[in-house]
Amino acid sequence: MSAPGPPPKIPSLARRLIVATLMLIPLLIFWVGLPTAALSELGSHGVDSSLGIQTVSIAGVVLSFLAASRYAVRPTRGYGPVAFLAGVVTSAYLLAIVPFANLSLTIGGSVDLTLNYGPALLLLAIVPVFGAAAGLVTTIEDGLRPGERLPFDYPP
Amino acid sequence: MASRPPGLYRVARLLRRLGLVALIVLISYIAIAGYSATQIHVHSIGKSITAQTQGRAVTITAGVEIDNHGWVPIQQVSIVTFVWFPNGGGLIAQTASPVVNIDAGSTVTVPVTLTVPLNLSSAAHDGGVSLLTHSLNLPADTWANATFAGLATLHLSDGASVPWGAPFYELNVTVGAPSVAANGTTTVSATVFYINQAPFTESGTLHFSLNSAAGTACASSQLGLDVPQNATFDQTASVTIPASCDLSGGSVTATYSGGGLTVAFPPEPIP
Repeated sequence: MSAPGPPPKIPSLARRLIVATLMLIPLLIFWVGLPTAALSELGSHGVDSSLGIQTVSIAGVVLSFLAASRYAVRPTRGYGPVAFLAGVVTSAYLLAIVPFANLSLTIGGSVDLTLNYGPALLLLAIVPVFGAAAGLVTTIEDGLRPGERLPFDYPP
Repeated sequence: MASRPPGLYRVARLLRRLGLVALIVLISYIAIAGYSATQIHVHSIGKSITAQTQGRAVTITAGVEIDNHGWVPIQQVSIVTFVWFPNGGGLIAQTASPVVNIDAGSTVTVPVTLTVPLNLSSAAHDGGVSLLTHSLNLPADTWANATFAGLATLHLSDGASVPWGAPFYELNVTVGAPSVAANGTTTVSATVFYINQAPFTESGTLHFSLNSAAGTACASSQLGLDVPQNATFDQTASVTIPASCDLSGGSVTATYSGGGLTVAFPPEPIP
């Protein structure tokens, strides 16, 4: 039996909440700011989107909070489920908006152009699946051997 | 601290890294596709229109040239067009281009071939407007589809009208008053007038027949034609008719043959 090593250097909850809040800034820019700015800019040029700015904004806020909360709960057994949930929700969101992934433009009153970017969203929806799978594995790990990963997540 | 992370930890870490790699690859590909989309040039459909006559139809071939100077392919490019008579007068022609794939860095012309039967007339409720003798703005519905880089599909629909130039625009055969010669033969003059507004030169023969009210052919004649695009044809022929034939209330029928085209015109009444 090996002697227990030095304890992991886990940041305090307050520190984790501050960092998670700071992480929200780029996350909100990515999930809310960029899509709504793009939709607004396209709309100002006469390009209509089937996807509403309100939908994108609400979903973006939810996804941003889920992603940021992963950091806050990382030392706890809640990390795996939250990571899994964040991955599943992100993937489900991307899949759910595929039918609305249309940009339409009318030129000269007779030419209608419609761009469907659903295939791109389908591809992007694969990415969070890796995160969800990682969250699932971590959930199992935390269930079988609680605290086992902490020295590696927070090296002493 | 153990020197080697436990197995499940390593699996979870690997999955997270794979997700990050997948995200970077996808975003890079989308960025490349976005840049490539700016390097595509589509040339006007009117750049290379040709018209070829055959039988009773004119075949109009156009090409949509697409320069794909980007780094990703354009797949499943297809164009479908329907051309109609105005005011619900019926379908004139339809065409579907072959499905074309355009590799990155290549230029491809998507051919659009439309065969228009010249002897067509619109539905009766529209007065039976003939394509041979009426220049029209024809409603046309065009749909084009393409898949770009496997990331997006583009659908285009165009409901613009297309101009149709009639090959025998305002065709009119005017039969003059009969004159009786001393030997008893009757002669009438027949003046043929029209404007060639079709995109090809008419080089051939116009056969016409003067018929009695009962439909009996009293006499016939022919005129040689060599009428370039947008030129006017205005010639008079003298036709000898038997004394027994009365053209009053009859009709003129005409047929054009030339350049691979043979078309009959609707009968025109003789006053």
